[in-house]
Amino acid sequence: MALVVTAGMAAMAGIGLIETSTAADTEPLNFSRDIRPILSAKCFACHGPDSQDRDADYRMDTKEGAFADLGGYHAIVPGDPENSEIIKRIISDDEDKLMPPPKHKKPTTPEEVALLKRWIAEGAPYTGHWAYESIKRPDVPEESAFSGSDHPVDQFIASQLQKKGMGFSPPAPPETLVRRLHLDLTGTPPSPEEVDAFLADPEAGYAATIDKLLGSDAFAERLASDWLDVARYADTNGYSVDDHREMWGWRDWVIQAFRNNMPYDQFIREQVAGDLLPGASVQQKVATGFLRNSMNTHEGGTIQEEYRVSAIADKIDTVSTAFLGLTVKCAQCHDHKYDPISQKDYYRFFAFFNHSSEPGMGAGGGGNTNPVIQVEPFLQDKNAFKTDCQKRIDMLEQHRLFPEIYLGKARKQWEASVLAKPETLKGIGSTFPVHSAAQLNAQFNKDPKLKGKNPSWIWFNKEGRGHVFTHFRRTFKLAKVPRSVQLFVSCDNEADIWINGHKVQGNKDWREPTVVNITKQLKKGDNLIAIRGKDWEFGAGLAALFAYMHSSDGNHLVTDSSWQAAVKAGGGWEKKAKVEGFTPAAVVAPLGKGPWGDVLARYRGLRAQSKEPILAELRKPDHLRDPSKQRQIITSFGLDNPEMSLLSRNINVEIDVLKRAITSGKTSVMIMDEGKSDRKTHILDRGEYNKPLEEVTGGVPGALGELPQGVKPNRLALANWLTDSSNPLTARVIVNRYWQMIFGTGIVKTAEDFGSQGEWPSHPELIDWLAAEFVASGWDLRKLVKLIVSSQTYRQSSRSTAELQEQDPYNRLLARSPRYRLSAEYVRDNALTIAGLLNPKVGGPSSYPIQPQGLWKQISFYAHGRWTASQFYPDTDNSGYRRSMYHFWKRTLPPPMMTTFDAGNRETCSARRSLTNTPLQSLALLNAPQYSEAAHGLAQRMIKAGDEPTGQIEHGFRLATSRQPSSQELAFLKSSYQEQISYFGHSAKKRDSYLVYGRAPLAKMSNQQKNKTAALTAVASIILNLDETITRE
Amino acid sequence: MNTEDFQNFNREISRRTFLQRSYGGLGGIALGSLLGSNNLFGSAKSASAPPYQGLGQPGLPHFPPKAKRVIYLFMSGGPSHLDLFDYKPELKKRQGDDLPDSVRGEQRLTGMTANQKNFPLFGSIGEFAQHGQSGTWMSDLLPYTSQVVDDIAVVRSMHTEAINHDPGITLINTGSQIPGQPSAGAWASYGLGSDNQNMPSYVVLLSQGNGKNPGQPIFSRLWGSGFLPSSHQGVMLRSGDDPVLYLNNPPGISRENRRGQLDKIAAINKLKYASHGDSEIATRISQYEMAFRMQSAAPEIADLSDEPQSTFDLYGEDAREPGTFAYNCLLSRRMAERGVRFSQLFHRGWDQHGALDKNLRAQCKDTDQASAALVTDLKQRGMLDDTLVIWGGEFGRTAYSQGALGSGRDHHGRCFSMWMAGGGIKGGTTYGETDDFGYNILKDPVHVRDLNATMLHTLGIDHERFTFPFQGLDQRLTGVEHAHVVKGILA
Repeated sequence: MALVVTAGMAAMAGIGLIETSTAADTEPLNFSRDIRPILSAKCFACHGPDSQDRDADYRMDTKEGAFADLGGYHAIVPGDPENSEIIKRIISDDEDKLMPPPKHKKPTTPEEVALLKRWIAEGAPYTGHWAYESIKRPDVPEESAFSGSDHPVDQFIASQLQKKGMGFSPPAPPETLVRRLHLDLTGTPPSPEEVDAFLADPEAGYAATIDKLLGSDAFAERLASDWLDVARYADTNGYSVDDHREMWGWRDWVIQAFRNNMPYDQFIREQVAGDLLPGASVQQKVATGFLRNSMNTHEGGTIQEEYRVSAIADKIDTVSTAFLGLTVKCAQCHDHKYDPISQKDYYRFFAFFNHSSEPGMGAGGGGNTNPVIQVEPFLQDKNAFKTDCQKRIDMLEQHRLFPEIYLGKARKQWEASVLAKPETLKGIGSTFPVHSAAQLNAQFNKDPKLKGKNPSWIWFNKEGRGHVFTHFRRTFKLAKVPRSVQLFVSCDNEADIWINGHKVQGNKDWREPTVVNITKQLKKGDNLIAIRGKDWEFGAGLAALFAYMHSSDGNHLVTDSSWQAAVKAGGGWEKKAKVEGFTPAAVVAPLGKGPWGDVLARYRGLRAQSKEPILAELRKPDHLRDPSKQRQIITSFGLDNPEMSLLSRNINVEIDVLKRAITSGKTSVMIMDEGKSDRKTHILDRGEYNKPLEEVTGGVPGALGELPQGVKPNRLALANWLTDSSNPLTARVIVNRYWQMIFGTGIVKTAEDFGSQGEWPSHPELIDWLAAEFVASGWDLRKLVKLIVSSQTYRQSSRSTAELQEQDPYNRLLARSPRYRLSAEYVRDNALTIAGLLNPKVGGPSSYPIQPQGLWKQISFYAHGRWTASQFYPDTDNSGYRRSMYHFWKRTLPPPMMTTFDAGNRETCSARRSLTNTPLQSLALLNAPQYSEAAHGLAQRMIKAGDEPTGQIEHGFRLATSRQPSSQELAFLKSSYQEQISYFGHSAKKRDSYLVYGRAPLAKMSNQQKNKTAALTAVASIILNLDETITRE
Repeated sequence: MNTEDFQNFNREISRRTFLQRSYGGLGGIALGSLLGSNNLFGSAKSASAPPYQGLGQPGLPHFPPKAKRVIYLFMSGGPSHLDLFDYKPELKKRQGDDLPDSVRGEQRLTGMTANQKNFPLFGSIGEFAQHGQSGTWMSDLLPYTSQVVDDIAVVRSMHTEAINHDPGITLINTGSQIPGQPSAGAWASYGLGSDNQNMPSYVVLLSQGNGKNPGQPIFSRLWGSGFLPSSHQGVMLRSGDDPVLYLNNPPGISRENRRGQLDKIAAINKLKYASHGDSEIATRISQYEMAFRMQSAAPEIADLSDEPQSTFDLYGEDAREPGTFAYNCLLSRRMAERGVRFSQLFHRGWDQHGALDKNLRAQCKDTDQASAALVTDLKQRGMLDDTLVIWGGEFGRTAYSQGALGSGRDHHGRCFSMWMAGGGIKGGTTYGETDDFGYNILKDPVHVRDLNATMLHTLGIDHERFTFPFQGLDQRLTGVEHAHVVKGILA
């Protein structure tokens, strides 16, 4: 959306108003453009397609209905407005007769009444809704004298302009053109070298530039990025706890498809029904992840079927909006009011998706919900992928070891207090006697009484999966209470512990086992240990308990099958001598086996034997510390600081996910299947999941066509119908979206709605011609984009004049090129490119560019259970400078740099964004860390351009805008430079704190160099904030 | 606002609209006047959205508003109506008895209690008494709110279809359980614009109670703009150094220095404007100016040094502590004073499935004093008359115990309680009635959409005529099903 909006026009804008004006008085009305929108907005609600709620049996959405004999009179008498009932009714003085009824609060305007009268007087020509009529390739208008172009797009545009007495604007300057091409096709600006090469011969270089860009990875990413909005791609599940999911494998598939210029019909077929194609490949199955981008919940207490139905409704919404430009949501509850989609049609569509085995509620922890497929990365070497995962783990470990951005000064303060009082250092020097699983196992094997009863990880079943809570009990006798008894517990994921009904310190994380002295809670005679294990992964991961009780008299007790387990336990289970319903615990794995390995050794590793080396380490500055000792320091710190301990546990949760990826070398992608092919589909009363009515089978809306005879009505049939060249909508909708991508506004402005309430196309013949051309080309997207950007229409200047503003305030006729702010992703990518910081890596897992601390934590389930994506850990390497399309997308709090610039939250399908202009955007561009870094980066590039500020500033300006600054612009920037030199020259402190933020090698710089660098950085920030820099001109 | 005021109000709107038009249109743009009299918070060009974000929509309000602004204290998690507002002595009498099947009917239960064998009734943990001239019943868990009952209207007959948190909080904040709709605050911002040149029209503050930490997650969609232009999304005001995201200049850049930079940016942008005639450039210049003003306005709101001790006596000492509910209440009053249209507090932790006695008390302790203080404070300042205060969560809780008797309560959507005060609300009202078990509504049901219709009504908006075209429909906050204004609580 990028229109020049004036308030005067906007005040008139309302539903049904079309920004391109209606017919002049001299030419006949066009029913579809001038009349149908009025009928749709004012009449169809009661006299339209909705058979369940139609008043007076009169319908005007069909020709037959509109002109029907109503028993001696007609609503519409062609040529005779006075005798047409609808005219009588819309001007009636009688409130009971007046249409639309006053209670609907949608009165007709005098202009609408006049138009309806005129239409009837002109003979009331009636046609079906344009977008549902089959596409007939229109003739290209005669070449216009003034268009000066034989490009068909130009001829369509010119013929419309000519009718208004308007013409094309002159071509944009070549610097603007080459930047426009780069921004439109890749989202990032050309380098000065690319600009120079283009300027050498703009005419000849034009086509070559297009071809070069269309073949680039950046173009594939540009189209993929657009598709992510439509496909509601995200890295989290969306509802409730909104933990992570793995779908980037699908995103890689999309990039790959665009990279290979996959024909659009195939692109649809694979995403809708890849799994059903004969001999479906792994990649084709991955493609169906498109349908699995629906949100998912883990909220406790959810009724699964409610959410299963809701996820299918989301698929219907997405498929119909993305491919058909139709809004069918209304028909979930009742017949559509405006478009010919009945409630039955809706549930026939529903049936296509209703055979998937996808449950309504996801398994947790792993993030993904069945059905899934494990695949190796498409766009990256497997080893590189593993290396990247390890790098991310290393970054997370760094966040743990030096947690300042999360805990502020707490660690340093704690360290100071420990150094002042070394005896307060906790958790170092364990008294727990056994040092490894091997030793313990050996000890058991030596003792004849214990042989064969190896210490084990136990759960209620052997799989170690399947339930949130498992309760364990073990009774034992003590002849007398020993001097000291210690209990070691490690539970995946968490355990509460009771000794004889007294709750003692539990274990919060298996990696950091708990040792607790339980001597006080024991008694002579019968004793009971009760442990409640919690599996936060809801059965997706393994869960198990290991406990080891060691007493000073050499006796010990370990978890094994002599323990009792129960999923459900009645009240008092943790203290009663006898309880019902417990059965012997199942051994999941012997102590020492993976995935938990040797927790005893791990525990020992975390507990240094003596405080002295740790205290010595504490005396060193951070950058000289040994990571393993720092890890012990942090563990001790966590014993005093609960926030640290939560943080550490939360980081473990994130690391677990990455470790799994490293082990398998694969990523998981949610896909479609036909696992429940016998599931029946019913119309649901008012759309409610638990109120089935009539049974239906798969089918497409009758008004739009039908499936071929004898075809099995499944997703493949749907995909084939969507991509059949006779489908009236698919090609129109996609050519319109690419037009929108390039011109900011579609030929049909309501890109998401081609239905009755959608807006009339600004160039109806052009959209049909483009659609026909596109299908004839074999659905070739690159050809389509090349066709559009090769036109003279595209190459015009974007300068506006008072006259143009008046004639066409919204620029729908394109007598000038549109001029609009870059979309969110490219505001950032553009700045990073200008600064030389952009990391062009293609594909793979998402990245974590820095964002304000604590945003996720403020809304998430942080530290509750093991939910991922509840705290944001920024990348500290150049992954943080990857293109914005790779930004880890948390639906309940998407990246603020994106939402500030109008990105949606990717909860549902979106075919169009708003375009706003707000002070928060100004603040972000001026102050957000990555923009500050970009200013520093740009300043470094400016410094390299020469010794004099003039040349440096010119270079910086050119990097940002692809052109030389005018003398006035240069003068402003130079005077700013002088002001900044003076400002920083007066305060070395301010200067240094400003520069520390960047990447300049401060130590080696003279004061004068520092002043100049700081001043150039401030000028660079100005350049990055210019309207032109963030605008596609 | 009386009729004469309303006429003046409308005249002012049209004057501003005229100004807007005169600089917005047709190339003859008076940039100076734009910079001088800027009333815009953002502009948006979307669907059929006119660029009226500072001013609201033409034709709004539809009639003289009672409330100029809203402070919405959203209690996330589902506060127990039975322990706070809806007095049910019968529950205590029949403590431990099973809830009669005839009462439960075909009620949907969450997966957490659906398999429970028994549904033992569980009396309120609080002692109820009547308060004020109005004799409004209230529990002793809310000693401070009990003192302002004559200023508030308690609605005991709220209801919702949702039985889980996510759909519940999404419904009450956006009018739909399905994500994608704009929040109530975004609608208010879109419809009425801002009365403050330096602050966003919709501001959101988050806090976490001690009754369950962390509370159920919340989502930015609850203050999102949905299909409305994104300039109407709620702006988080955070505790800490950067109250608004990216508010602070980079280190080493003073305010004066920034001023100089902005002047240069504006100067170059004006050149571009002169050559390209794109009114978005003019808007951008004004947005940078507003950003500059916001850099002082937002910290000023958070700077409590001008508040006397009496303020903290009223709100409690917690109000000194950034990030607490009490602090956020105080900030909401300071924002109301500065004309912020809609401020919304999201306070987490009202989800007492277990340990109800301990945790609900903790939750009340965090919130009761400051909630009541806000009403009192607004009243003392003469602002309660034109400020609507809303207090409540997404649903109530069951009359029966979840798990062992007396442990906790599960979610309950069939009836729950909220209260409202100020702008157009009749104080001392108790509205609606539930059965002896606080399980079903007997009289005057108020659906979530009726609440929203009523809120819009106090703002002078007819919810049926307040629409935005999207996906072929005239979308509204109150949705497609019938909603009514709750006349019984209006003054």
